Amino acid sequence: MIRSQLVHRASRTLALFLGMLVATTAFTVLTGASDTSRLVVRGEVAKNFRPAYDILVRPSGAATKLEQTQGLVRESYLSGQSGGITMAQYERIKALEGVDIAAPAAIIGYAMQIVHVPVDLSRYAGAPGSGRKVLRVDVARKVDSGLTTVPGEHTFFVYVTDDKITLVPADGQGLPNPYGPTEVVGGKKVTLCPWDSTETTTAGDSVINGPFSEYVRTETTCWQRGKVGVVQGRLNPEKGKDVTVQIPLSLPYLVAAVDPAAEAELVGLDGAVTEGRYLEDAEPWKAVAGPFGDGGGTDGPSLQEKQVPILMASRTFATGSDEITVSDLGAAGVTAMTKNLPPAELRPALLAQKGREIGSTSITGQQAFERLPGIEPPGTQTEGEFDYFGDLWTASPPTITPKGPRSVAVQAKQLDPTTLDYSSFSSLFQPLSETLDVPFRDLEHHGGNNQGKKGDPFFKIPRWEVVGRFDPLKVDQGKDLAAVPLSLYRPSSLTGADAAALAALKDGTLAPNGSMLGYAQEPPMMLTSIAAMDAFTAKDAYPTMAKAAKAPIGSIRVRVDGVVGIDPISRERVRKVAQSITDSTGLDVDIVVGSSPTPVEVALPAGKFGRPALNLDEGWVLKGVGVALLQAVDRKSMVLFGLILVVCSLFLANAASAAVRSRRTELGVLAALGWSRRMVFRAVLGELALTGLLAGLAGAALSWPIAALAGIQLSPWRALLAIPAAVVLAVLAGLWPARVAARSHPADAVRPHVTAPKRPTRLRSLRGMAWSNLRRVPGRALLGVVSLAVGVAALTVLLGITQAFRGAAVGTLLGDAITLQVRGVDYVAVIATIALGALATADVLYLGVRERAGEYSTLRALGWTERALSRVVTWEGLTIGVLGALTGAAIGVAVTAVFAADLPPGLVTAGAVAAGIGILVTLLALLVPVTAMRRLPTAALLAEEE
Amino acid sequence: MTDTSRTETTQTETTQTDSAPSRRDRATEATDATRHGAPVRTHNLVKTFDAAAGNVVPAVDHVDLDLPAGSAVALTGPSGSGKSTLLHLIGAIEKADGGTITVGETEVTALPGGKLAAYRRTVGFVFQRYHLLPALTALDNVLTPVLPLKVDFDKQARARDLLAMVGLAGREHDVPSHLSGGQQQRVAIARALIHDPAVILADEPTGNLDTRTGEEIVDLLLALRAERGTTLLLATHDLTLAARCDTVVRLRDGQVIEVQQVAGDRSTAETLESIERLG
Repeated sequence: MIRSQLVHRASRTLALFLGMLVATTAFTVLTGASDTSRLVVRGEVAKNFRPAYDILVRPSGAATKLEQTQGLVRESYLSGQSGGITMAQYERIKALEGVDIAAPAAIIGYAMQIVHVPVDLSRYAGAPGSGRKVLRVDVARKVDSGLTTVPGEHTFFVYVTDDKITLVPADGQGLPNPYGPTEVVGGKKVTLCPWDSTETTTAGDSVINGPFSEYVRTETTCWQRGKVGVVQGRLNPEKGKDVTVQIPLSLPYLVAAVDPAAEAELVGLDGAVTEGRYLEDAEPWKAVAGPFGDGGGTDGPSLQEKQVPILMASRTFATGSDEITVSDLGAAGVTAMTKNLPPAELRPALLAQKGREIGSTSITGQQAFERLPGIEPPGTQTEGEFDYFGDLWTASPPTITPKGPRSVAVQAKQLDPTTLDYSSFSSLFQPLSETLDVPFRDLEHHGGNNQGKKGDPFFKIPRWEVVGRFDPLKVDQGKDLAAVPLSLYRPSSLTGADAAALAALKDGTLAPNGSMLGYAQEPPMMLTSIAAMDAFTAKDAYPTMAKAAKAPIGSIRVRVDGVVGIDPISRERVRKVAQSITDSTGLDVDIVVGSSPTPVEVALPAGKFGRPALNLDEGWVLKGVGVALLQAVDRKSMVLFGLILVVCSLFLANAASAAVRSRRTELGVLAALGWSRRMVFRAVLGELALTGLLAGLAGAALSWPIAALAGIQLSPWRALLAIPAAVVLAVLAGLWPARVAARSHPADAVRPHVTAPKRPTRLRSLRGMAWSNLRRVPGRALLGVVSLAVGVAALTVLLGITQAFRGAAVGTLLGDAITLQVRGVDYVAVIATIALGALATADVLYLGVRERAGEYSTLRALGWTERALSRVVTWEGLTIGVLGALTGAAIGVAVTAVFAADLPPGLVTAGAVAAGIGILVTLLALLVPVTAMRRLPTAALLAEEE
Repeated sequence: MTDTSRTETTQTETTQTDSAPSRRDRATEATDATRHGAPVRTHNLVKTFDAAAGNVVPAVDHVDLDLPAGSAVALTGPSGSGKSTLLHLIGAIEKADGGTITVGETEVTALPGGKLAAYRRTVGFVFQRYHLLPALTALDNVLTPVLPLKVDFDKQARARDLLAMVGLAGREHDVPSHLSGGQQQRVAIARALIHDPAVILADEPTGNLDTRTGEEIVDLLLALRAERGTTLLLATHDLTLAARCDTVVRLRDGQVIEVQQVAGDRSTAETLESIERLG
């Protein structure tokens, strides 16, 4: 009987089969999609879960409000952090149970190191016999990707003559004041390039004149062509005879102390060593014999010195160049130079003259860096070379004010020029000119004590010994997607956040320059062992570093023992250690395991020397991204699965009940012929089960290619699951229709399909007629509304949870990478959900048309136009569409709010969008019933009813 | 036997059909039509249906009719003789395979699809099973033909008048299931008259009714014809009823086998019956 039904009612069976096939395939593919999405996320999160360290410990109060409220960690947290954690706290953390590695980082401060870069001026100096000449050499600093140009880094006046220049006195005794080499000009002996000892003191030139004074930044040199060069009274240090200027550049280098063993284990610093050796475990400073006596000079017995082992970076991240312009000052310059003026008068006289530009050149930052004495290959340092730390500076973190959840504004500060004075030694060190630009940090000057003390065997200021060099880029910073702040080895990445900034910055990034006060800072270039740090923190070395001496450590990166992945046990271990650190030390603790880089927009005010205000993206870190992603995807999977199940079941139920309804007359006849209810029930259910089985088989076969095309991983087991699932769903969906069918009354064979409602509708318009039609079949209308509502709810939830899912990790590298990977799967799910909703709605409307075909035919026979008939069907569809879409959107918003545990921003918009799509889809679905209605065979239907 | 004014009305309608601004005009013209019917002519009219095994069955086979305006014509014949099909063709519910149908001056068979709805409003169709919309009251059922239209008469008032005219005053708010078969058919007749049609096509209007009620319905139809001058085409098995018309057209196998003018008395009916029996 069942088989006969299936065969002989081929078109109806096919319709039912197709309905079930769509539902089964959709179910298999969609659940596969949901699983794929989940697997992708879990895999990606697991792969990128463990960063270089698990916990970042900072001094109490170091985390800014923005960091605390938004779960962020600043990338450049270390450069402005010069202490706050005591050695005792560090030891406590090290000893805590579960702490595998505790890697401290202590910023000691900026040391200034001078390099002299020679610039050959021979080609501008004139041929022998060409007479006297004064060249003006202007050096300007060009930094910040060329946006900032600071003039006056240095100005040289180079005097060149063919006549004899005499050094007076040759033995250096009995110096006149001012003094300098002499030349006979016009029969008169004149002092050239004079120097006035009253303009300075032993306390340091800059103390009197300021580090940016004309006195410090202007230099005169005198040359007798082919014979001798004199620079400020001394012979040209290069000892050459070619006309040369030595451009002094004082480069600031951040010095930091680390635990070599912890650093090696945590980030493989030992493996980043490119020359020399790595720091030994807990390597202390060494006492070495020095040249100075206890009187502060060279008098007296030689003092021992504290020689600190230094691992020096092999590359600089600071960019910038020195732009050099050469001008010929002509006769006026020669006149001024040979006028026998004292230095204080000669400098302004020369500076006033601009001359004629005759050439230009530049020195790159890398060229300057490579001339650093400190980075000469280890062991080749020349005896007596200046390798003392001298004065040190520490800089505060910049003051940032939150502008939004992911944007901050940097506050400009006021520069206190006295903090740039140098006290340890004379005017050898002059901060680079960009230091005069708008400052973003407060600077603290720590004058070194170079005054010996009787009975103390040590010279106070430590000196360094470069034991090896390391390449910061070779330090392992972990997975890119889970990179955590490693300010010890990388400068903060500042890239243009908008078109203006990208256009302004040549290579799109703002690199550190040579200012200690700038926003972008170089990572420490000199690393020493934390065990050697007391060379700096000894109270008589740098008296103002007392605070640092008490709590010298700026941060501790902690790796927790036994963390194997993203599993709950590992997560709990990390949480427990973090809790223990907070409990035992009271320090700020950030769990960074499972975090991912995220850009924070930094609004940087304009500089004074040409750099415009810039909006930059700085790579901060969002904490807990991994866990948030996992939770979001789990929720998403669960909700999606449920929704898919409901949508597919409804679709199937609709198909099954439609199949039964279409057999109403026939079942009535069977009842009239004496079939029992049980027999009818079994026949109907058997037919549904058999169709379900066939649809399941076809669905399983069809799911594979569809899944493969959509890039969804579908296991054979899941595909095969479609078969029992289809049978079970078909039987479940058919239970109610079969029960209704079993109650068929013989009269059903002759009774019209659609009856009147209990209460008649007042007919006023086509809309009223549509409403009346819906009221006559409330069950089916409700099914249409529910089908669409579920589709729209599914879409809302999908949009909502996708948004929440993205929100959980928005803008982070990991979140973006994963979102990109699961986007295709999400789209498949959305399209399939909408398609199912549309099919279900079209089905309901189509059945309505089919069942009321007689009525539509009557209306047509009574002179109704096709347009009027279509409008009735359209109003019916729209009523279902609007009711279903709005209900669905409301349910979707509510479900998402519950599952996402809050109301993600834009959820209501997502609901509105989904409702809009639902209504649009209904309008499209209307094409089916409207077309069906237009094709109704009016005469045949009327005759059939006769 | 052509009625000029009626013909003009029909012509106007057919040229303005389905143009939105003219909807009101059409409806107005239909209702303002003079109370005269339109002549109905068919020439060589053919309609076939596909049967099993690729056979073609002629339902209407080269039928030529010339029915004057205002006449009452009974189409008789056994089941399958083509009565209903002929009515469906004249009512533009079915499309002819050949030949022409002219109602008034309108050649129905030449009308494009888009103008058929307007044409249908010039004829009133009465079905054997009434085809009332079960969800609507008697009044609303009468109103359904004008529901999508804007007309310049009071729809409600006309519907009430029509219901009163067919003897259903006071039953306006009853749904069809609360009315007897005869009452339902009266509603259907009132509905057929809402456009004040020139032709009424009644397909076995008494087929579902008992003899007495059937007679009442035929009385009503004939009275309306007499009162309004409407052309009435009535398909019926019942020769007694057929005999009450002016003309009896006998059909068999889709062909007209006889057209007989009758006086509407019993003897003619008896004559017809005997012919039928013999035939």
